[in-house]
Amino acid sequence: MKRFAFCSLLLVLAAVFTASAQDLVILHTNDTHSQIDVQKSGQYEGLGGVERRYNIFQNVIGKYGKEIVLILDAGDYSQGSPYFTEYNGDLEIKLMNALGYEVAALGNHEFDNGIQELARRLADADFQTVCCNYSFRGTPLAKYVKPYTVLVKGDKKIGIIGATTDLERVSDKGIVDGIRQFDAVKSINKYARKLARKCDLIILLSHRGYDTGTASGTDMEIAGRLKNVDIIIGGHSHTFLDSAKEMEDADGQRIVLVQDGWGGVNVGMMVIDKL
Amino acid sequence: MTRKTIMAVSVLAVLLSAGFTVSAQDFDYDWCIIPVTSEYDEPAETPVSAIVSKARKGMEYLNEVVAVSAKEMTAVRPESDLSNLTADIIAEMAGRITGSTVDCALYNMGGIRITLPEGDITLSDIVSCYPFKNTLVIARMSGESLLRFFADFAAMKQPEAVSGINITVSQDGKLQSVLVQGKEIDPDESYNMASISFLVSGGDGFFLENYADEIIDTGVQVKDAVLDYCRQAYKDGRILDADVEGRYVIEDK
Repeated sequence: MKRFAFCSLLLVLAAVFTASAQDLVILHTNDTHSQIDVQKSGQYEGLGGVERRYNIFQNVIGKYGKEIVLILDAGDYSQGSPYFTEYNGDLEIKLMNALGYEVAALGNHEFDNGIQELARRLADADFQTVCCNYSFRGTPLAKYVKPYTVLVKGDKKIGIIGATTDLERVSDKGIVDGIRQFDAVKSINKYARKLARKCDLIILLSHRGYDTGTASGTDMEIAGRLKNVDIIIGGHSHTFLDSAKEMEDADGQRIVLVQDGWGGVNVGMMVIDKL
Repeated sequence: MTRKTIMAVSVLAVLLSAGFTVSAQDFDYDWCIIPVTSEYDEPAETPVSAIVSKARKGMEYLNEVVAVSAKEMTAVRPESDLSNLTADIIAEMAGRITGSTVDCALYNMGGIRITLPEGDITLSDIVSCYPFKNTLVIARMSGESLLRFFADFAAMKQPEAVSGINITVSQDGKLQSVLVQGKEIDPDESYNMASISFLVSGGDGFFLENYADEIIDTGVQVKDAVLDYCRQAYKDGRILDADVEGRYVIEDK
């Protein structure tokens, strides 16, 4: 009996020490803006490039295991170099598929060539597009955009809600005809409440700007009014952060804000130990 | 209540609350930024490199030189060499395309996307600088409407690229003075403002449709108009150049 107990203890200890120490690793980018090549000039000269980004993603996957790595983009992967003009945005989608992106927010520049064109591009996307504060009903986008999605990573359920900026200010009028804006905070909270019942983590994938860029409320401005959202992964303001920003949500709970700058010159990585 | 009932209710309560996964709020995390450096150049042959190599081949024609620039130029608020040059080109090309006289031009700073390098300017530079599918327009409006526009423009406290305009604005957004083609605006005259489709119905906060009697859309995209201008200049041996001249002046307190 003693021997049995000892072996069981050893097995348990072995399981504890060989089990993955992390529950989730998030890789995120935003506003990569068709910056496919390494930066040739400017303050980020020598940085960036999608070929390198692929190798970074593969390294992280190799280190932590594909099951717990989550790859996200917070929008505006479109527009910003002649690659977008030349290939009508198809190249960015192909690359995001090859890079392994799983969920992306809608950025305003995704709309630059119109809704029809965006729907055409998203039809080839392997990643899920999320946006909860606009209705695309009655447009070709409706079948490619969901307010949220839930992914299973390891044994954890991750809810990802999308939100975008005030499109009326940043897009040609013809583009926003036919789509309807909802109150972002109300919509996010509605879905977060629903997801709180089944998810271990809730991420807001936002293209509204960290502290600037959306009149109806940037990430920092709305964080204090949200409930059940754990992390805001943002974009739109091209904000480079030295560290994650912690704020208090409407329940007095911690909410973490991050953003990854611009142009794919960096990749953001969040390693979460225990959910 | 019997003990059994209390037990049952307690067990039910525990089971019910266990069914509600409260989203984790206090997890430990580490967040960092990974700079995308040459450290990650290997391996060189990957599914992504295959896609990119193929795409790059199709882009080689964009290396054609289409103009020469006297100096490096950037668009910055409230006024800059590149924003002045851009607005001047918009004004000239809108006039050329429509055959109309253009009195002034308005173009948004946000529509000038790169710093133009000194020396050779390639097709790639032009496409990069003016990538959006906005088209050149002419907004025809009365002098009275134009004055109303400039008062609202001043109040926006959002300088943009202008041509044929000298505007002075106070710190708190009051229009102090405005000249078009060096002259006071006559409320009874008719004026042609060259601009782009984006600024007609809300882009960057502008609603030219609220001031114009008529908006004529040329159907010509900004990049194509700028390209035509550049090619002509290159052919004529003219070099692209511009300076800050006091077109948009914000008064000191």
